[in-house]
Amino acid sequence: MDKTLEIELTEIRPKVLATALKFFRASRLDGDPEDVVQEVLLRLWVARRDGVQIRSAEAWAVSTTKNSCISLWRKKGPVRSGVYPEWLSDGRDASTLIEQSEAEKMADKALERLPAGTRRLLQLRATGLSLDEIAAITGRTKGGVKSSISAARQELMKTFNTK
Amino acid sequence: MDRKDLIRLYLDAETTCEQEQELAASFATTPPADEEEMAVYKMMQAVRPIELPELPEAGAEYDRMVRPSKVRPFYTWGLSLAGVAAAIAAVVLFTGKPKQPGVPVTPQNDYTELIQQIAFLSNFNPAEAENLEFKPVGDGFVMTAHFPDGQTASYILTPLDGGKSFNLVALNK
Repeated sequence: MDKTLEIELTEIRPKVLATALKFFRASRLDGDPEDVVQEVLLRLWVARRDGVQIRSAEAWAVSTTKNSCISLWRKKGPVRSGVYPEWLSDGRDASTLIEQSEAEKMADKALERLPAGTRRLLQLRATGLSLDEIAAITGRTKGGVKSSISAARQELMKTFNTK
Repeated sequence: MDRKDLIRLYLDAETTCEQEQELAASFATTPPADEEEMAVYKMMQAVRPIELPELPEAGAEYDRMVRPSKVRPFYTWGLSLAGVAAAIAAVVLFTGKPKQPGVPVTPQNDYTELIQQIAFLSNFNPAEAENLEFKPVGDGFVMTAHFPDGQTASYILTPLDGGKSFNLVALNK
């Protein structure tokens, strides 16, 4: 992703945050407007990656923020996917599936122990964003993002190594 | 680069996006060789990419939910001012012109001024003011509205008929 997009994300961020804050105040919605901001900027990143034609990024982002706020208000959650590699699915029976499900729950718990902001950084990275892009979306420095991701991975390694 | 090297870079967040995809792809074909590799595999499985659900077209709903908190004070003030303007008109019509010692005016000028006052008041929106200031002057007080663009508007509120009604006069803006 080119440098222009990082600048675009950084410039649009305050406007998106203001739109989300306005809604959170008016609706007394429980939650963090920052989550909406990051989701909207991620959507812009995905749209740019996919070559979607956007005339005004700011207008697009504000409109998406409004939709995202209402979506949150209606409490629509993301859908989890369960894709297994070939070597793991070979010969799996019902008990293996249950074990796998238990392992997923334990993995989820390990992730939940991380601060929400750190968890979000790992998820953004897993989505395919560079450190610069994550920094632009979250409003943090690249160095801060990198050290947080590294620390979180080291922490998760300890957890998964003992399981 | 072999998997061990990729894992070392991955844990230090030194990998590129492409290298992380390469590492994930290697687990899809070759099972983890030891505990460390298994732990990395579990971690990569646990941290899922963010999925973005389809959003509703809800701009109008957003506007409905956000707008009322800003608009309501305007209506409240608008109604209050309309009431004050009506009171002024009633006072002038039933009791004659308001006393203005030392300023001789013809009845025609007086009504023209009243119409100007009402027109001015109808445009006045104190909800836009940053703050309102009240200073007691004699029996009444001076109300000053400070607007974000630096402008101010001042009004004299004087009691009539022993405080049963008030006369509101715009001074400047």
